[in-house]
Amino acid sequence: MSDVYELTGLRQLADHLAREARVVAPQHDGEHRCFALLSEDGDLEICREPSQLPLAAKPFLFAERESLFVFDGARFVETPAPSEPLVLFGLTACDLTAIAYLDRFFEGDPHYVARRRAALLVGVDCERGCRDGFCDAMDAGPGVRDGSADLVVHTAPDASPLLFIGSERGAAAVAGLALEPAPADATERRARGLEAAEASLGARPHIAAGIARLDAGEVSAELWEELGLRCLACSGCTTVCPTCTCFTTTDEPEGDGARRLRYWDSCLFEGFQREASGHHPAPTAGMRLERFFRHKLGEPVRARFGRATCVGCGRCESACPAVLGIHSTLGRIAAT
Amino acid sequence: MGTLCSVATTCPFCGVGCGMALRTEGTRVVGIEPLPRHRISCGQLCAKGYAAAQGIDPRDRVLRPLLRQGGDFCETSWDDALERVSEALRDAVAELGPAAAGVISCARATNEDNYAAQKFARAVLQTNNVDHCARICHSPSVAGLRQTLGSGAMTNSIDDIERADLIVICGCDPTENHSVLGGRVMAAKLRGARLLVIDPRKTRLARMADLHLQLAPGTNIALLNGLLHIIFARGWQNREFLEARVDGVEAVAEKVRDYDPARVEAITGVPATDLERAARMYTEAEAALLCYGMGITQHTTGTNNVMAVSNLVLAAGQIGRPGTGINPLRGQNNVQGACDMGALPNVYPGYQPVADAAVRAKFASAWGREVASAPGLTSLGMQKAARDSAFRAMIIMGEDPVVTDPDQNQVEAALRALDTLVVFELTLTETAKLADVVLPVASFAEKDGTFTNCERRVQRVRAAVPPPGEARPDWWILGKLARRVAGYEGMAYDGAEAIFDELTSLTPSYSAMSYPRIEQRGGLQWPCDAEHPDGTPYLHAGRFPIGRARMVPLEHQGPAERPDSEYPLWLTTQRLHYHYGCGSMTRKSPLLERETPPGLLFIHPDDAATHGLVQGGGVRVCSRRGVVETRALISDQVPPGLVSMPYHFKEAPSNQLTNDAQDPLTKMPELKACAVRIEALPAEVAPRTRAELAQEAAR
Ligand code: SF4
Ligand code: SF4
Ligand code: SF4
Repeated sequence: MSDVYELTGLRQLADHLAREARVVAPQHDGEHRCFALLSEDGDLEICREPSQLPLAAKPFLFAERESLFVFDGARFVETPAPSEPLVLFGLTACDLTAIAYLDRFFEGDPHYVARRRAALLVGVDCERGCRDGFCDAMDAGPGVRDGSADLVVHTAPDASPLLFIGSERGAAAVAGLALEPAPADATERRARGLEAAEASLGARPHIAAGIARLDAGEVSAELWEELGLRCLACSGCTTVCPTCTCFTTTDEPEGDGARRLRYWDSCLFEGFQREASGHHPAPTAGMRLERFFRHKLGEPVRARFGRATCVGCGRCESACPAVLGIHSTLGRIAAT
Repeated sequence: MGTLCSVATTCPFCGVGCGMALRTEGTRVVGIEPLPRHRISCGQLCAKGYAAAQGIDPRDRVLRPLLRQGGDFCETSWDDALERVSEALRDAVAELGPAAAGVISCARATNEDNYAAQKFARAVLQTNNVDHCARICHSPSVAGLRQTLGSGAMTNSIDDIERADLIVICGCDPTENHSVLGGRVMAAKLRGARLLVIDPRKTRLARMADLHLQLAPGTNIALLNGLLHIIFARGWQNREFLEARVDGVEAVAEKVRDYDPARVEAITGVPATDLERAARMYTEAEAALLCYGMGITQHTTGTNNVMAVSNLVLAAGQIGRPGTGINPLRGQNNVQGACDMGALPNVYPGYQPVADAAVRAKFASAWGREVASAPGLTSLGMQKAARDSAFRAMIIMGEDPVVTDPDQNQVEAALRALDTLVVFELTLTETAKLADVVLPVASFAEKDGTFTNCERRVQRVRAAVPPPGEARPDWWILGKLARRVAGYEGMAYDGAEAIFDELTSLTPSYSAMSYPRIEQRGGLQWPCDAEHPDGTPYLHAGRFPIGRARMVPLEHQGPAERPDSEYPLWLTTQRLHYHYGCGSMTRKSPLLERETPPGLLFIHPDDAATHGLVQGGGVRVCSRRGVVETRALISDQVPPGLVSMPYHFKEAPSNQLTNDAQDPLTKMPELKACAVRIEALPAEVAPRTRAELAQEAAR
């Protein structure tokens, strides 16, 4: 990152970007927060507590329900993926790391790729650790990772926000904005800020210890079954996980033909991997839970993608009604 | 287009009342997100909750009023449909009097809809023939607990699960049916609370429990009397509490003398040593929270079962404090509200008795219209009267009794015997298929209102999308009918909030509620009145609504039907996490539908072996009342001698088999115990659906 500027406020940047594209940012209506279209007079209140934004911005790139094509009785007509420019504003480092993973996973998926190409990513560094986050342990935060956002905002309690340009596209997006160059020590200030944020993330020794036990094959099938007994197959963990990508398709009758839709799915459902013959590669709830965690943390996945697919956002901890979130499960594994 | 809208509302499925936001795209709900700041669900939902978007998808919805023409339906205008319905209602009343018409309201509908339903019956039709399906889940709770404590609702709050050091789960399966609440129980157990489960089935919580009393079906009173026997014999009762606050103690102590552990072990199959341990755990706990469900209520002794549970709770003094209480887990999202709103033949909103002339006068004057004075019929009563040609016209609001009521064949016969059946529905359910007129209604995602969850918390429901086609809220339809049937303008509301404001003015326990206050407080728990403006997290702190609580001596009485040589197995019914009620909403989710075959019979490995059944194989189940074919799920969830069927599947409806023998007081049918015989279907033969079996019988 070479260019650094000083912003008068976040609104200055958001309003500028809104001239060219729809801006999606954390919004709230009473107690309810989510990523939604920023209105002209709406508050722009950055939320850096992932568990408070359960779905992050994932639905804007990988839609929870999406039409793929229509068969009208004679021909297949592809549903074009939306390609209107969109700004995803105020993404935390962990969620940006997750998007970098989705980019690789969905490389050949025209719907994902179209949405993603149309999206400009604006990240925000975290000022301090959040309740369940362990992004430091997963190399995903608290500072926005290089190359994961087009623009990065760094905030500090008593100073103007700093804007770092993360990509050419980011540079182009702010080209028309009259920006003050940042003071000479901006990069250093950011480094200090991130150091403090990292220090404020509590020590989570069970994460590394749990992963080590998984890798060493030290977690018994009995322990997985003890944990799996509790799993309700609610699909909460996979719904809120920013790197879960499973989907299913169904054909909905339409006119003389049908429309193919895809929905988010969950590998914790028994039916997800059941084969037509009745054979099941993970027939018990414990085996399905094990597969989930191996897929997030295990060595083969790390080797394939160059990193764990878990980004340490901690969302699954609060979404799981059965106390099987990442801290509970790795904690239990580390303690045996 | 991206998903840009998200509206916070309350889950439409079970009585836990989780908060969810509906994510919309145009006029369609495309996804669900949990609400981390929600008072109850704290960012969690169960599989049904996450699948709610598919459940209300406009596909398959009834979009315009439908009229029966021969075997088919044809679409018509609202004007025509309303005119025909009004005429039919007027005719029925003119011919046989107001007793010949009635309304079955709905435990899934909002408080506003339920209030409108009972007002329509009482003020417009001039009848107390109004009921809803609490009859088949918790009417015994209302009847039993009103006698013993003075209130039939859950005494404590869901949060209290965290405050209890012992949790007793009696005849309910909360991780399946009230999953998010069940999750709280698991979390409490992991944090060190003790767990005692009383259930014939080895449920998930039974597997995690410190102690599981696996009693024989229908032996609840014997077991509970047995626990009381031990408690009184050892002097473990809470003397101070009993002296200060309870009547009838002596008579119960006397009665349970007959229930010594050896005799109780013989009746229930529960070892005497376990009875002793359970009695000790419950009386020693600082705070013991007891939950019960349909394993208690769905019996011919339902009301007595409830009172037997209440006896135990009172004897130990585990009530009136945080972390304690007697907590009926209500099945449907708004069954508490439907009862509170007086969608019952014997009470007005707030349980104000129909029999009380002063109450009737209060409502007549507020509504500006005479109200019915003759006692009303229950839903089973209306069905019976219909079969006897004494009842002509029925409105059913969004319930599917053909699938969910016991003894389907009788229900169908009753509905066919009506002159006019009007069904308010989202889709063409099995019940709607029998209707003369089907009126399209708005789903929970398409209307404003309130639901009351199982812990008495009134929460907001908010419209996220407009209703599809010409669908309308139930209260809107009733308002239009009121004008046409009786020229009555008192139900022409301009919105749900106007109804809520009217009902709070007439319902003392809701009197300090309003939409803005509900929103500010994250819901309000009744009683919420001048004395408790912020609601009441637990009931009966200083006194009971009836002053002193009552213990009632009870005798064990087995189920009406027992296994014999011809029908050698017990059949019980259950629910699955993935489905809700008759499945008309949850089964539209491809993910939930994929989880199970359409119909299941849980059977113990030993019984499966005896009958030559294989996992997933076809099985024919026969009772004295009917036949069902389904698939075997071999599991030690059930003990030998007991088989269990979920009731969500119209292909394999357990209600073809169950007994309609009833609790004498509440007419609650015995859905939890009857006798069946089973036979394996040949390997290549697929189970036939109910419709196929019926066709074959006709041939
Ligand atoms: S596994 Fe849990 S902590 Fe890791 S990225 Fe997914 S939701 Fe976040
Ligand atoms: S959130 Fe928990 S209970 Fe739900 S599917 Fe995931 S692990 Fe299972
Ligand atoms: S537990 Fe009940 S209220 Fe909560 S999401 Fe599930 S069905 Fe809905």
